[in-house]
Amino acid sequence: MPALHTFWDLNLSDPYQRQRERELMSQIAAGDDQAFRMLSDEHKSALLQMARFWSSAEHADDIVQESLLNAYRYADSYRGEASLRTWLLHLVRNNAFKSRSKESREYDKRKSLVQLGIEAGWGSENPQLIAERAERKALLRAAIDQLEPHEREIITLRDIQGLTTAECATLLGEKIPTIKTKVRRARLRLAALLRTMKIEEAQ
Amino acid sequence: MKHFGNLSCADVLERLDDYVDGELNEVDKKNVETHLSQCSECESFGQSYHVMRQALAELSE
Repeated sequence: MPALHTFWDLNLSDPYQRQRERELMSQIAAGDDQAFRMLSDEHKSALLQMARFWSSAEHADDIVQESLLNAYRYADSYRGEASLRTWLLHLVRNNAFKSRSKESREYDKRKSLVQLGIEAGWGSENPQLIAERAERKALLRAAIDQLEPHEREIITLRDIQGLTTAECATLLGEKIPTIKTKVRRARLRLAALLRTMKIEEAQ
Repeated sequence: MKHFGNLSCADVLERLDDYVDGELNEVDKKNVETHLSQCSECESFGQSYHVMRQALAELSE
């Protein structure tokens, strides 16, 4: 059994990160457009991923745009109490819930042909490796889709987006032990689903 | 559920996330490692669980 903790230790947060984030937001508050572009480039894809989860693929772009505009407008209110990613996710979550209250949620599972092609190994120098990885990812995504919404939410935030337990607790308004329990249960449910799917696949 | 060292398989299951995250104290970490080195079922489950978490992290790429 390898020392499993070493891989995950790589995720330890940078102690100077929060200071850099506060400085970036001060620059944005002072009207620095380049700083705003940096913020957008760094966080946009992660925000889109959660906007798709909290709303729909169709509305995710608009929600993220709105949230980034909010971040620009209210940059001086960022105090660095939470990480910048968590603060931005708060904005996305609020805007997604506002959007959902206006229109009923429509979950579009269809993928574009290009996306399917990339997952099938298109454009890759090692198609077999990419195909295997895509297959593993597709299986994992299918299993995640079968989780209950609250399980899917916590797995996406904690394991896919890489938020810390404390950040998840801040974002979802829960206590840290509650988050730990929820994460543990959701991961075990996911492992059980994957096991069932693999057994079915083998038959 | 079997018992190896100071921990049962259920104890290991409860501590597995903190072990993978490097959040266990030295004593607990040693106890988990002792159990994993002797219990093939937990060792095998731990490996699959670790691979699943790695694969989840790759979904963000």
